[in-house]
Amino acid sequence: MAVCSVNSMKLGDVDEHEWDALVSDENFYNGYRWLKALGHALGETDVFIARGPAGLIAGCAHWEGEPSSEMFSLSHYVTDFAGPWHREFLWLGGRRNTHNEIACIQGVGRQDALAALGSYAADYAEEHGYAGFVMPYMPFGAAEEFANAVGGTAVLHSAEASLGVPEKGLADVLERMRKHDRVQCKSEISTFRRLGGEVEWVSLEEFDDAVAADLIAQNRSKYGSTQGREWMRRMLAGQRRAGISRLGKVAMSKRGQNITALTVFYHFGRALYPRYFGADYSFNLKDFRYFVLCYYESLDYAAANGFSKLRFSISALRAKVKRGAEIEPQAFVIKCVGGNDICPDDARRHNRRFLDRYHTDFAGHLSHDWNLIEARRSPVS
Amino acid sequence: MGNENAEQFNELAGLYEDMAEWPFRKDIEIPTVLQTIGDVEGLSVLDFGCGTGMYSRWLKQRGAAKVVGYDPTVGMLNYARRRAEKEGLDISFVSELKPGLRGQFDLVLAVYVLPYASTAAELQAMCNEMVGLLRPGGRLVTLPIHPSYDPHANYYEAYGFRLIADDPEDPFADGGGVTLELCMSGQQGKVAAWYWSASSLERAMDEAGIKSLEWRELVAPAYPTIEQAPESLHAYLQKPHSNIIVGIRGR
Repeated sequence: MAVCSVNSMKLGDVDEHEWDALVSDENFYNGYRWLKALGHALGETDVFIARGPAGLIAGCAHWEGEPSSEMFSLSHYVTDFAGPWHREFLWLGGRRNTHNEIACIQGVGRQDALAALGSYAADYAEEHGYAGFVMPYMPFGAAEEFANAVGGTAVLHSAEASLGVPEKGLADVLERMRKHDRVQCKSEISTFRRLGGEVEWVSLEEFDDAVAADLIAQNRSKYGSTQGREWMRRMLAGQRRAGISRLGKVAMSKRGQNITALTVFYHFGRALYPRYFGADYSFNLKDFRYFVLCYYESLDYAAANGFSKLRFSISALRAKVKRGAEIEPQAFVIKCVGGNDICPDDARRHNRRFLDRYHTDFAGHLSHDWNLIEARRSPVS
Repeated sequence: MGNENAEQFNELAGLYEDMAEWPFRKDIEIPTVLQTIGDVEGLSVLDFGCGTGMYSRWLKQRGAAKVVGYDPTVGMLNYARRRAEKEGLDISFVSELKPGLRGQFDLVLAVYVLPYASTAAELQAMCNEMVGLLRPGGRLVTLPIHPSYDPHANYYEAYGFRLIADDPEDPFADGGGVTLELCMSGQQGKVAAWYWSASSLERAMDEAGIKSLEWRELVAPAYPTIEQAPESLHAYLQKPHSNIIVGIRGR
């Protein structure tokens, strides 16, 4: 398969259906409408696209990164080996995304498409004075594939949780848990009910953005975020404008007429994405509403609606593992330009240390992707 | 369809969706298929080889109670799922046919699927799979390469494609290779297909359990005769590259 052209352009100039044909169920945050929503809320999204003779074959958003945030800063990702971590890089993937994959065709032409896109991104980075490009939060397998295609390096820096949805939902997950965890989960559900909690599901489209933004901002503020209610309202307004709200569902916990908490989910193919949790902390309840909404109720909802996977985020991995989730490794792909390269052996040693740490902390809960890293152990390590 | 055959469609989703607007499909194939299918209100339908899900979406919009789109090609399924989500259509798109789907459908639609069987055994397996999905008395509507298509490579070029027999000396060889080249508005794609004779197709259908089989020609339903159709469609209508098999599963 030939690559006919590679360009940088505004996302709005790309046909959304053509783009989305390259986006799998696992890659919701690089779907057209999610990127579009980010554009509405935070500024227009720029993308690299590669075309073949029959149309679009690869695409990827890019942005300038956020050095002030630990989540989007190389110097916070890597502390155990030398590299140009304080230089400015071009960031690939959706703005502030914590799951990224290149939107790309499958099959025989895939490697060529990834290579062409990566090569263009490297040239673009050099022309614009960056030290190279970095694509963070990639599933390790996808990161390694992209790194190989572009002559870059995949460096582990994070992990995310997911949970396969069994046929009977929560009941099946409880059954396969260790007894101690099972007793704890049942106790949390029972406490939630005893304290008068009920759960109701509604469409995000019909839900009041102001209420959602208020509760989500309360939760974020509790955990140190400075992105307040207005920021969240802007995000939700962007989603509404981009049409992503149509894919959203809100699970609310209620006590009588009062909403005590909510979780916003998005449907994407056979995957269900819990994205935002919010709570009204004026209700000082120890009722486990977070776990009830994000895990227990969502499992039953997912099973009843034909979803095969719940895709959680990168935070609170321990709590997720205790409730049945497995942990998947995430790497950033770095491609330096202008002679700032990093040492591949250093990266391999770093990846091994990362793997060992997760083996220690999450033994028995690691996805098969970790075996790929195990297989890459080399004599130098 | 084997994995290799399925894979060739991975990068063609956008182009295939665009094809719905090409005149031979828009004015001839699609309206003839919809006319053949008739009322789908309340029916359970499986779109076998659904591609970008164009027919699946239309079937759902026309009142089918349950629509399942099946395609082994990831690129096509991505397109189909994303598009249906955006349009708020409750369609299940799957990459494999689980045993629980057998015998569940009133109608199986398979548009341009049989030409991707590369051997007689694969053709038989494909027919068995399609018919096995039907409840007894259910209908199969499928479009093969027309047993009497025009074998001149450029005959269909004005319609956006070329159909080129691997052996130009024997273009109607049963199971012979045919290359479909798509060539409209600068976009290009190429897929490998296979020609099956009417008797091979009928035999495979019979063995799969089809008890009543009927052939239908593609027409332009908006025009009572070929002469009344726009002149640009005449050549295609005289020698369409496909036709329709309608079969009923035995009880």
